[in-house]
Amino acid sequence: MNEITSPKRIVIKNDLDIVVARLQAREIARDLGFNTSDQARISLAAGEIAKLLSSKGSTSGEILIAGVSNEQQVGIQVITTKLMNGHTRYDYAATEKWSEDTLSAVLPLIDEGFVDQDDNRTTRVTLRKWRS
Amino acid sequence: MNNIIDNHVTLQPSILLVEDTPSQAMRFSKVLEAGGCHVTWVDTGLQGVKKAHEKPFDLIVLDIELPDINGFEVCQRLKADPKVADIPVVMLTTRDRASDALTGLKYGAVDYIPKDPFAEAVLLATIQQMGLQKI
Repeated sequence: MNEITSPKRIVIKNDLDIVVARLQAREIARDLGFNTSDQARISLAAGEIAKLLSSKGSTSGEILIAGVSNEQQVGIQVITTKLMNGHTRYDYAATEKWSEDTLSAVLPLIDEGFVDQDDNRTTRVTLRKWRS
Repeated sequence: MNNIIDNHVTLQPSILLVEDTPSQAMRFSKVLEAGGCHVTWVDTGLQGVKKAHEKPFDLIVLDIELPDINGFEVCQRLKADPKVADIPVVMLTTRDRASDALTGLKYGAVDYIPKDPFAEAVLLATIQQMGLQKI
């Protein structure tokens, strides 16, 4: 069972929010003891998904960045959801394959990535990188 | 062509920019200087390696597509030389695939910034986060 700590929520509405997402990811990774190279990987991944959030026609999206831990390991988790104007989020994700595109763009940078839905049937993309 | 612009002042953070496209060099020099940095620009990989040995730079901002040796090789050479290995390298490039980023980080870069419309803001914020300066 994974335990989540100190989540930071970033609403992506403009260019500055993309920078914030990237910096926030690096800061949390650094605080969790990630090495410089892995800080850069998760920071880049968070920045890339923030860019995808802002560039595919949505009015906004949000990213939740947090520490994650279980009995064996400590890591960082980035959860992305896209908030649509005039569509249900689920419909958009299903038709535009936004979530799959997002995941494939950043998968080489992380250890785990998957697409699922929360209790409101909102599609979300989860990225995880474990501390080595 | 080997263009070199050198505005080094020892009291402020000094950045070596290795970038072969003049318009891109101007783009990023301008933003770095506006952020309080002093920028030395060279436009080839070999000039970058040579220049890195001449002054105690605080940071090297490195393009990948260069006319002689590419940025990966520049980074590899710098990291293999104890005299300059400690200078952090940030790669700034149009190559935005994750595999390229991984290569850059494998060769010792501390960060990898795609040259997209957000690059200036990301570069400045990254430098600030590294503690090099107050921007």
